[in-house]
Amino acid sequence: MTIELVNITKRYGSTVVLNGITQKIEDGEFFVVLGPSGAGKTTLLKVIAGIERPDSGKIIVDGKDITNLPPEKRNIAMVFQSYALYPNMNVHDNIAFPLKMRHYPKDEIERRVQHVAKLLNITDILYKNVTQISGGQQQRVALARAIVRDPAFFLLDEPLSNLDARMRAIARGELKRIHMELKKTFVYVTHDQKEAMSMATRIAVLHNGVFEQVGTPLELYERPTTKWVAQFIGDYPMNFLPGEVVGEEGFEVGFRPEWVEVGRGNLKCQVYSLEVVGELRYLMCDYGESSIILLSREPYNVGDTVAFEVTRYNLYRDGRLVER
Amino acid sequence: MRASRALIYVAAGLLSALFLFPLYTLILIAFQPPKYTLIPTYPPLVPKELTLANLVAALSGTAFIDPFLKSVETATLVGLITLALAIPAGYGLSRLPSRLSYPVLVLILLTNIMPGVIIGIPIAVQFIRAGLYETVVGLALAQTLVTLPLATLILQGTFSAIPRDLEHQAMIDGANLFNRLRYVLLPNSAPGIAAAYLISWMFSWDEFTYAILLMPYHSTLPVTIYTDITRGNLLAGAAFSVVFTVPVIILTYGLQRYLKGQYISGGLKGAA
Repeated sequence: MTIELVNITKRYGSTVVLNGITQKIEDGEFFVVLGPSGAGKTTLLKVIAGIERPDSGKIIVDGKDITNLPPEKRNIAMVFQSYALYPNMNVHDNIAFPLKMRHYPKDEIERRVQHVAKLLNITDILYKNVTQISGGQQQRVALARAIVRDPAFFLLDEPLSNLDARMRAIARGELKRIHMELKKTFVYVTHDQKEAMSMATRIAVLHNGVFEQVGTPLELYERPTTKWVAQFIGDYPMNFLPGEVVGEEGFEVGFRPEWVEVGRGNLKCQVYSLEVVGELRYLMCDYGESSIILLSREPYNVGDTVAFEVTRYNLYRDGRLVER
Repeated sequence: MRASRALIYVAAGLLSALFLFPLYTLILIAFQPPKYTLIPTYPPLVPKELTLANLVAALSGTAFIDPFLKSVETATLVGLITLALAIPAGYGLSRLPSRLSYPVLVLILLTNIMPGVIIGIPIAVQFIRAGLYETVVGLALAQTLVTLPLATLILQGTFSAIPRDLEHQAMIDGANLFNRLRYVLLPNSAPGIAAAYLISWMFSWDEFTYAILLMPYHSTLPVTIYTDITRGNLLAGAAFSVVFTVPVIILTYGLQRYLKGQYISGGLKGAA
């Protein structure tokens, strides 16, 4: 199902959280809303879910305006950051709850619960209390409860943020697999750009209440349209230097750490710190007043002076990408 | 570590002894012949001779049975009316921003400042007109005046402690307000509800002022025991007082698995 957000605005008192968001989310897309904490990501999800009402704007799902429908009539599934499992029910009853509320027949409920339990590998904990299972299991139960019925689309609010790093990687793959299996629209909120980059069909970067840029992970990485996005996306922020270094007067030049050739060229900087990843080295350097990060295969040490050349770059003026 | 633990037990033991001592003397009086209790100037603190005669005397007349049943009826009714009103009130208050709900809660609790004797008389006058005088329903309504604010405070705290996400999740799972209450809110607030019921029930169980003003002729147990003792029937009164505590113990025991200290935290969260 397609979801269209039309000029969604939401204020809390005098704080504008969402400032006129307009965006179409395509059918079957894994759409990630990425932004720093406090950017209003969860508010946006709650508006789409119907838990919060927008101050203005419309939400249209498959051509139907659902802005004024209460959440229980929207036929959506949502996984909260806290998982929001019902502590008074066991795993089985948690998963069965949305079906029970929609008056599915008993044997149908049983069949579906068993099916998703198998899909998510939680069959053996079905009759355990939700407070007695691990964080990873709780996350699966929450996910199982979301996929057990046929919702119009899925909303996921940082569902992996409460897992440890290893579990997170596994759950990420699992989520992708489920998305491909169900072929449904997912709207996924996170502050973790790594997570966004590895899962999304498209990413929307939420900043100052608007989508600053919407695009595929590669587009966002290679051609960020603003300096802010350029520095937010990527394991390391994009480097920015005056245009003179590449002979482009009046611009700012932005380049990724790997868009350089180290050990040759006539630009020079001094290493003040470094990070080793396998056989790669990220050199944090001082270049005049600015600090830049360069990727190098050669071993360098703190205090070394490094010669480098920028081989690929974007041009920015007033913080915005200049199309060439 | 172990020593400090032992110290806690000693302190707890002393405190319990302090609170339970009056109950112990009551039991001594109730189950011993008067020559060891009421007649000597310094009655012994260890039981010398046990007897059921006092209890038999108390139970053989209907004098205490009727008031006992009346007390049970009234207390149960107070508990139910209180819950019926305090659950929606507490829920509503828990969903208001605290800068609104806090003043309301304080205001609700302030209603208990007025002594019962003062409002009891006008209530009696109104109840005579309304036909509620000398009725269980009338007395229960009056006692609810006192229990409702407390129960509202407790339940406000209980509902506040339930994460909003849980309710939002239930909405998304397709539950309407009724089903959200039935399957999510009420089961998860069982401790608070049990505490509110218990506190209301027990308050009514030994409430005296409204009982004597609104039901002076065929009254509840506290009033009856009082009149009996003032008339000199001290032994039967003592014996029946022991019986009087039994329902409270049973009720507390039955509801204790819901309590687990939540009663206090429930109340405190309301003030926060």
